[in-house]
Amino acid sequence: MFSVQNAKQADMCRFCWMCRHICPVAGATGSEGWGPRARGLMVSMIERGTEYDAEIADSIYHCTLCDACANDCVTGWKPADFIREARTLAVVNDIAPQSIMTQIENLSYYGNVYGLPLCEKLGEKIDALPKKADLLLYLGQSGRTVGSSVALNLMEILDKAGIVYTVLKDELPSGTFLNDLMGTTGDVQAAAAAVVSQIVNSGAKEIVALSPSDTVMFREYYGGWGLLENIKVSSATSFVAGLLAEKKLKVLPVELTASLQEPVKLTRGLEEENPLLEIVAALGINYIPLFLHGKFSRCVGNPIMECYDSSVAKRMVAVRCDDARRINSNVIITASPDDYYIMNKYADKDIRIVDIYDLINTNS
Amino acid sequence: MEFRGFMKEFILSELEDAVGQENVSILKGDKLAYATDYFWIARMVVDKGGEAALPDFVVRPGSAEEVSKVLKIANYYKIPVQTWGGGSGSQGGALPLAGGILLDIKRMDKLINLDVKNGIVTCETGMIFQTLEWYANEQGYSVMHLPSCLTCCTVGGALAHNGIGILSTKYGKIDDQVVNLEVVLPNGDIINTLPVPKHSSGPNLLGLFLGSEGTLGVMTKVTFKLIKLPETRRHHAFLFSDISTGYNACREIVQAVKPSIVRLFDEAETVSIIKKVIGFEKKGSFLNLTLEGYSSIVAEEEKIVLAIAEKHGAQYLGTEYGEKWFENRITFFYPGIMMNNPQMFGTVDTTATYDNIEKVYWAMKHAIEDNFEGVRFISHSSHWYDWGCMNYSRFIIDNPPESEDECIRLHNRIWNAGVRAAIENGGVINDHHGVGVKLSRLMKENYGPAMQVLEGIKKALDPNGIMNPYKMGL
Repeated sequence: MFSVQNAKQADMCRFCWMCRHICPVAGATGSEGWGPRARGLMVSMIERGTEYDAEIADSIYHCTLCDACANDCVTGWKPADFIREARTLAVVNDIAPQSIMTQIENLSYYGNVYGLPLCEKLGEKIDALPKKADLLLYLGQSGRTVGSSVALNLMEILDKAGIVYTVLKDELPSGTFLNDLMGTTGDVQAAAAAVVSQIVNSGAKEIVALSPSDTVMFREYYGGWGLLENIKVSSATSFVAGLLAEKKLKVLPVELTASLQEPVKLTRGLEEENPLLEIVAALGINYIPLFLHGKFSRCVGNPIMECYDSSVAKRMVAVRCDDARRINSNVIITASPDDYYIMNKYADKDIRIVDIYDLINTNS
Repeated sequence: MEFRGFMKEFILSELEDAVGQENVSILKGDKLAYATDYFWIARMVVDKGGEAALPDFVVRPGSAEEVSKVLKIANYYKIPVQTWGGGSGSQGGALPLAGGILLDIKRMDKLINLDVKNGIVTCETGMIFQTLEWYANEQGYSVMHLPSCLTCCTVGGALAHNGIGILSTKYGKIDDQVVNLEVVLPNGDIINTLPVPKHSSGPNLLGLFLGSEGTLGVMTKVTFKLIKLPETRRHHAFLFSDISTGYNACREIVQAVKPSIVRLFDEAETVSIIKKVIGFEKKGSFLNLTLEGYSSIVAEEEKIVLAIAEKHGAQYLGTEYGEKWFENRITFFYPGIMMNNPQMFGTVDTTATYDNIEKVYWAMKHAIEDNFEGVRFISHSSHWYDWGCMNYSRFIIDNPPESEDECIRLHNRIWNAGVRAAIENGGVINDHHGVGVKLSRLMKENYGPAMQVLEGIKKALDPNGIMNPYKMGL
């Protein structure tokens, strides 16, 4: 049923609990069935005759695919690989949860899992930009909708730095969420090809992606498929860190003590930790590192989990707030529109969630 | 369990009322997660696609009060309750073999108090042990309980089987590290042991509950001693001609100074696992030893250790291999390195006084190697006391039988032979993995008439026998 490689991966993980401490979903919920080991066990049992049904699929979808487990694994196993394949099988066999199917439909119709239109204010801002430019700012699904304030702040920063750029008003989804919803199928590659066509038509020679998920999708997956070969892709944080380093953007020091919600997709997928730290240093922020930082940073949920089981996202944010309180810092800084939206929605009132681009914008 | 008519749904609604609807599950995906812990037989059944024992209800309480409510419901309906922490136990102690309720305590994971002045830390028992250690480390302290399952076990699991960590020779077993406990008794009463672990105020209740494996109640809160992180931690390695010389040298060392880590490997383990993980290629009995604390004191202790080792003809291997072992201390247990199904394997660990420990080693080795075909026996001694030490002996069969029945039969025969050899030579059923279902049948052989004490306590506290049936001989 599963590919030989993923069946083997699952067999390796099914009796191993070593990454339990690092799984943010199992940790926040205390649920044994929602950790990597349990999913490995389930896949191995399916391979040995257990019926794969909707109740097992529910566990398969209670994972943010944040890859903390794989990054912690001394022997290099990657639970996300067999989880993605289990999702493909769930969709193909019509046992995926209804909410997941709705998210897939929303991606087709709206370009985002939420089923929301482009933020009106953002639409007006995009209309005022040049239609073609060497630099394309790719906002991603949260940046265009629930996290549009982060996108607007970033755009103002680029304006202040004198950067000429464009944004596609009809921007297609990169495929990163489709890849998480139904695994790495031909549909994901087709979505990628459509995005590439759109980018090539825009004449862009460089892409700056606001969302860490999109950055990783462009660099890891598109790169692996031989797409976007002649187009440079940067994360928004690394691009802005560069502007600060090159003095194209000047900022005033900010009196603030804070911890960072590091973008786990970047720290793990691309081993990109420094840009956000460089921005924080440029702003003179008193940054307190958490025990779990860098590539081990704790994920606070993602749009798919938020739409599928918001109670889990809520608990993940609660754990992150506890981390902040324990180190006596009530400010959490983020550069991800996904994280900004989820944390703002669920963080307790004593914890302040701050968009790094807002800080730069206000103090430049 | 068999429920008639609407009773399953009826009990489900009561459990939901006790802990919240979202914290009770009867979904297949949730139940399958408890099909196996680290116990070889449970793994083997899963590996062969056999039928695993699953719970009827998965219940996740968030507090001692909720545990109390669940136990009252379970007692009324006489439903078995199996408490599950990390599920990383090797003895089948947490397996829901009787069906009924699987009480997963991982929602109870709060840090309650970290008190540097009194040198104590209090937490709920569902916390992953690594998380507790991180919290202590943030303040410059440690609980100094670092088992190989640190990242996957809960605090409660370690308490339930009276576990041990790699630094035990200096900082003790978990029963040396606990200050006090909160326990929910089978009848739902929430009790506390006395606030301090040392007193003359009657028998110490800590000793009753630590190691009770969920048969006498549910431990819900614990206070541990906190130890300041050491100024220095220095690793050394030695090679002895054989295990016998190693035993003598290590006894002399631990009776003179207090290393944190002392791991003496027999010749078979030296040329297999030590070679595989840290690349040490010579024959003999490998020892890695760690000293820690204030630098000046460690420097003096090092002189004593080196002199004793030299006296016993040890080859000093420097610091590199000891450091490598410490860096890889958990690597040993990852899939691809650790033994794995379909291999049959088990850790027949036991403890004895220095007079007896070598006798136990040879008796176990012969009992297993001489009586079963195709079996390998390896051993190391990794926890040392003033009066004796333990053997962490393992048997491995690369090609076990095909059928489940034959596997279970062979597995139990090997265990019976190994454990009985230990008991006959002054050892005990187990050193630090516990009894569980795996060794339940051997408890009476080890305790003799003393077993009636445990049976009497069980009957008094759990008259309906709902707490973890089939485990620990109770």
